Amino acid sequence: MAVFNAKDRVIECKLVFYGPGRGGKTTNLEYIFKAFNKHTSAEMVSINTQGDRTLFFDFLPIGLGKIRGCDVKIQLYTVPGQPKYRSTRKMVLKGVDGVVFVADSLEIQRKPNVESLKDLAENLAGENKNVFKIPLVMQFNKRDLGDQGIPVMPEDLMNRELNSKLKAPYHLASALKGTGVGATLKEALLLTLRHLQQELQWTK
Amino acid sequence: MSEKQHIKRALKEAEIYQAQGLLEEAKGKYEELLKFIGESQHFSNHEKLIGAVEGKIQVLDEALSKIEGTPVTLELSHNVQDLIKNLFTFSQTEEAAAMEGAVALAKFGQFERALDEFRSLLDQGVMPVMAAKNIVRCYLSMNETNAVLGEFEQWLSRELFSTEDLQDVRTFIQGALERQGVEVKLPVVAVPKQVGVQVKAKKNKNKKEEDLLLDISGVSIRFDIGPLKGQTVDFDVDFQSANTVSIVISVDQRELAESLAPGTRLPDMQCYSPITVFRSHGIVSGKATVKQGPRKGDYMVDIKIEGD
Repeated sequence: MAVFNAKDRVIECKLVFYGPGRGGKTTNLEYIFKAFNKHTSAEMVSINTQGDRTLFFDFLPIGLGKIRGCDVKIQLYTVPGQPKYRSTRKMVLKGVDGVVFVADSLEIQRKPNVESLKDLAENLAGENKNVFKIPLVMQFNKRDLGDQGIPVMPEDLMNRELNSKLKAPYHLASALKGTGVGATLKEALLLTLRHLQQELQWTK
Repeated sequence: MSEKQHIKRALKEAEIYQAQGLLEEAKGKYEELLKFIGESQHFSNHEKLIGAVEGKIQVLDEALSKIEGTPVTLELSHNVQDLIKNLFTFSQTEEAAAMEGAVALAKFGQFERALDEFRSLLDQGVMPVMAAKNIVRCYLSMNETNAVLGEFEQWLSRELFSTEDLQDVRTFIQGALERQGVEVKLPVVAVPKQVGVQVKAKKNKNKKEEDLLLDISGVSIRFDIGPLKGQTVDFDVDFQSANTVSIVISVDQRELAESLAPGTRLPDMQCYSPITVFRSHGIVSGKATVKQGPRKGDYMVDIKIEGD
């Protein structure tokens, strides 16, 4: 839930990176941390387990500076993607303002992508939020693996399968190289802040 | 594509999956390859190839069993625990926020620290019944039944609760232990000798706030849509955290469980607490499968009660 302090003109909101396990959510945040270090005032916190899997969440606070006279602070989170951490994902989604769904382009991840998106919709519903209404941006990650001869799903197929009803903006990415990460984040921030403007009128 | 090329390509694919951390998928690819090599007996280095692939599968099996053996929670540093408290607290009032922070610690498996926080809240008289019940939940999550009993005996001898609240806590513990299959008769709460006079707790700063969060022992839900339309079903409440109650539905009652999908609105509910019955409405806020214990495989459904 975004917090808007009208007196000090500060708005703070929460963006969650969601998606199947090992799909590149943490890699997105790591790239953002490195690339936008001017905007980060604190260290990125990652709580991992064996095999570098996210156990609870990753957390990265960033500051966007002044936008229309208001100090904009963003909290970026990832969730643990493995199915068994559903209750943790629910907890991390509390008070979410915008979502980036990081889908894995590998063909073998076709089913986990769909299941994770369904899990997102259900967990949002539990928070009284609607996956069709919340600011949402899709990212089709690991596109670079196609160049190495690894079977990846065509962009059209992914868009049809994951996004035909949601019609969310989407970006092709290779988070490890940083390709598409900035564009995804920028669009997610834009949608979220625009949505919050309707709710909180923070730029008035 | 020649057989040699096919093998090379499959090996590369498996290696990339492994590098991506997709260990099950990498293992699957190696197994596919093993079958392929097994069916093509004419390779000069047939045995060597099989041995190499089997070796890779073994490495993956070891890595997978390490991951499987990793505990679902781990003890975090004090700083990270503080961060969790800070990030997952949304209440405006200081005392409600303190309770919410402690609950967040427990939900992230930081039971020792959560216990300290709940005990501190109890000592300060902040929502003592809720603090006590959460202490019980922490111990039960840690499989420390004896600690629950010890704690309850201490509560009996301290003036932290009113007689009524202590009885409420006792009922809660008795029910929670029974659900875990533990048969223990808890000490009885002594009623003061003077008729009609109840022992008052020393302090309960948030009595009013806590009273609003009634302890709900059961709910009746009348379905207004779906295959159960028009029917009313009664449930016992297994857990409660603030205004969210959890009920367990048998795996055999699939239709009932499917009628309670996350996001489903429940406009007609009746809630039962030890002191009152009230009509309400709510929303299904979560559904999961019970992973362990006597009800393994059943559905655990969370319902957020929205009205009073």
